[in-house]
Amino acid sequence: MVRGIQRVSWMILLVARLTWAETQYSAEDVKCAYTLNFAKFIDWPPDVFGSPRDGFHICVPAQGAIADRMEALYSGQRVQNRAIELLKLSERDSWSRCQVAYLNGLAHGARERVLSALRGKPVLTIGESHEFNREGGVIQLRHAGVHIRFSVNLNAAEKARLRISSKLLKLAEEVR
Amino acid sequence: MWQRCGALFYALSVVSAFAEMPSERPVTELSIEELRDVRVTAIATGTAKPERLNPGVITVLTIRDLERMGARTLGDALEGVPGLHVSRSSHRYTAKYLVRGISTTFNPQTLVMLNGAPLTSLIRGDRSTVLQILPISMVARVEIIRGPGSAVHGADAFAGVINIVTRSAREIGGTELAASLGSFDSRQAWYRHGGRYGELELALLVDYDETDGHRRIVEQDAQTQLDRALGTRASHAPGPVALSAKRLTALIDGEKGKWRLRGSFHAGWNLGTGPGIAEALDPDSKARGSRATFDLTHHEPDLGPGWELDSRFSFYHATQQFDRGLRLFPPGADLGGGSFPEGMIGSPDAWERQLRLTESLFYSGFENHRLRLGVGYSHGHLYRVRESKNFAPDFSPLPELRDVTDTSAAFLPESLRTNFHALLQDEWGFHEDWEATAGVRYDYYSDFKGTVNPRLALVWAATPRLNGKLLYGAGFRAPSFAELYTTNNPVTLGNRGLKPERIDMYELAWSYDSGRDWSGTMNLFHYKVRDLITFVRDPGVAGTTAQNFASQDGTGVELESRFAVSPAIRLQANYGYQNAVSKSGSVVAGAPNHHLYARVDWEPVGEWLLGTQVNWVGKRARVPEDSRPALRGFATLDFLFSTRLWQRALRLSGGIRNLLDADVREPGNPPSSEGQAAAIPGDLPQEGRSFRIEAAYSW
Repeated sequence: MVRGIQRVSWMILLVARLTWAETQYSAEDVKCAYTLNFAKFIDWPPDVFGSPRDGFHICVPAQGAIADRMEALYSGQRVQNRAIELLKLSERDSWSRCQVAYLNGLAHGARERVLSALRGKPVLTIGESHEFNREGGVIQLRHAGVHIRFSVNLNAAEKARLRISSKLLKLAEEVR
Repeated sequence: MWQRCGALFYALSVVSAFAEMPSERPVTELSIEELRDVRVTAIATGTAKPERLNPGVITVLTIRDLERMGARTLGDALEGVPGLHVSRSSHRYTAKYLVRGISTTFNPQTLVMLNGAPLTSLIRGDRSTVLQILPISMVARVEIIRGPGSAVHGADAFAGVINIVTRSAREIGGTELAASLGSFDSRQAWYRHGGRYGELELALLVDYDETDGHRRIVEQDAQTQLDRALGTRASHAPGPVALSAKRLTALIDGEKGKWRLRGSFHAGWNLGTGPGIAEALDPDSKARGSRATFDLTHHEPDLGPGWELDSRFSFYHATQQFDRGLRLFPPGADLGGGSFPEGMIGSPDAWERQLRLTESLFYSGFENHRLRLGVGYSHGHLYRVRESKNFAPDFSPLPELRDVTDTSAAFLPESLRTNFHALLQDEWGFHEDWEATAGVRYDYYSDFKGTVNPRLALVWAATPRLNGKLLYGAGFRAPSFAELYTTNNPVTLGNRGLKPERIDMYELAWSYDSGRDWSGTMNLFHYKVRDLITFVRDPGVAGTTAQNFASQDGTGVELESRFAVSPAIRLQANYGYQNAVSKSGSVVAGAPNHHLYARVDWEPVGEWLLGTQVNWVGKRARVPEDSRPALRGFATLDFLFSTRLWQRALRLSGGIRNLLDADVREPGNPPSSEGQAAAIPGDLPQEGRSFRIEAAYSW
């Protein structure tokens, strides 16, 4: 009897762990991967890059938990044929040298200030706050149950002179 | 035994090792399609579904909305929500949030919550009549759900639910200091700070305000009629309503890891009595009161694969005090039993506390399902009642003020209520574009026993831009202590045999977002309310007793649209229509059938924002016993502005409200029986034109 129970519980554990092991990543890692993917489906105006040797700048608030994960995951990665340079910035730094600005981890007021400073500049802004798209951010990530999905503010992208591929738009949960 | 444990341990380690084998592809190699399907371990709370996919008709007002509306109070903000009109009761002009035309005198049918914990007073089922809910400077978001929500929120989520979410450390992100000046000698100052100290995120907010109130004139009051009948000359009417106030509020919010603690304290003093507690002007009496709340939550996002647990403990304490008593009727009044040279005085002081404990367990391990299992316990105690008065139960004068505390002559006995609840809910995404939500909650109350409330919702993402929802929800409203236990009041008596009020509502909602410049929603609803508690005249005597007497059926529609004319000009408008009919076939009184709100925001240059809003409220019907014509509607026009200077460190805002000085009135209490006049026949005059300016500095 006890043996039977043992066997069944092993099997349950085994099956459970296997199913979960197949597809489970941390939310932070998935967000890092999304960010990398977005950069592949967006065209920046050519005048953004000074020389062919310039890196691709992804900027992130220095104190945010995701900064460390980006550092680990982006090492050696390339985007748009350029090496990724991760810049860990504070609110007071200039964000306009970034191609991608990941703004989660900034306080509400600071985020608004950075967003407004970046208005019209060719920077892909990514955030997670409930209001990020409405505030003028280009891509908003959000938790949908156990999944992470994203929505796009096309007006903001156009103002920033970013061309988003139709494939990316099709996969967005919402395009406003 | 040890052998078995060892075997199990071994098996577990094998399984774990196997699971962690490098079969996982690096996350950076996944495509966007694959990322969309990845299940993540940390499930954030508070990142609820977007409004369009939420299984309910919901409006969210954000900081930005509140700023754009120039909202000084929650009432100002809520007036712009479709299907909701903020009226004022004759009890100190307390706000009544009329959702879809459903309300009795004290408006207990709308549940107001602070960060998810009810702010309902046990005495009348309303928010305390002597206190404000919360200053707007502390509010990050207001979530308004129209329609019943007792399957989730329990008692009083009847006509609608208003949840006020306060600003967190992250939302403040620094320090801000502000001061404002406005009409009616109104002054306000607030301080906000939010910062990170090691692993602790801490927010501290303090707000102080004082005002003389608008002092609009009430031409005739209850005493005017007594004067006419008995030849006395005691009334203060015509005279101004007394709405003076001084208020101090402090809020603290600390978050560390999975724990969050929030505490608030709100005190009001020098509070005027509006048109008088008995609708006889009382310019001299003042009330005071306080409320303290404490809320500890713990969120465990990963209790095991797919399991999450939310725990909450909350505490509420509130007081109402009238130190020198209320002059229910002014000096020289005579209610037929002799004259009151000092006025008819009473001081119904009360203290109450409530404790709540809830556990919510979520499971999302079944494909496409998210299950929620919840249990909770609450304990509400009106633990102290103190009363002095100078009148006998038949309204004849006593020689002096008599302390009737702890005697059967007090207005309400000290009383206790406990409640236990259990709920089960499943969100089932049964098709790529369809999601069903089914839930049921059982509540058991120590005073009126059990009630079961279900809900069903079907949400259809027809296209990425078009969504449809079909909703059914049931709700109940717990009888208040005043309705259950009032004794020794010759006018209204409680009834221990009361059942809860019940509502069933059906809704069909559509929302469309063009993705570019406009979006719109349309909601249709139909509801049936049963067992509404009203005070029914007792045969042969002058008094009334609380009974589950009334019912009403309502139907209506709400339309809302937002349109960006250009990047700098945005337009939004909403319209609500409701038609509610009582059992006898008469139109339900007090709430407008039509309500229209429209706003234009214009960002002409740089950091400037100019806005104008129009609020039109249609006529309000009278009860059948009232011979007056319907109360006419009104329209107000506001102009608002804001700008930021000094590299956005200084924010200046302000505006003119009710620019055209429209005569706005809200209905007072109706006459108590046919042939009688209402106590205040000219209804309750509201604020006229007013100005306000605010400067806020942040660093």
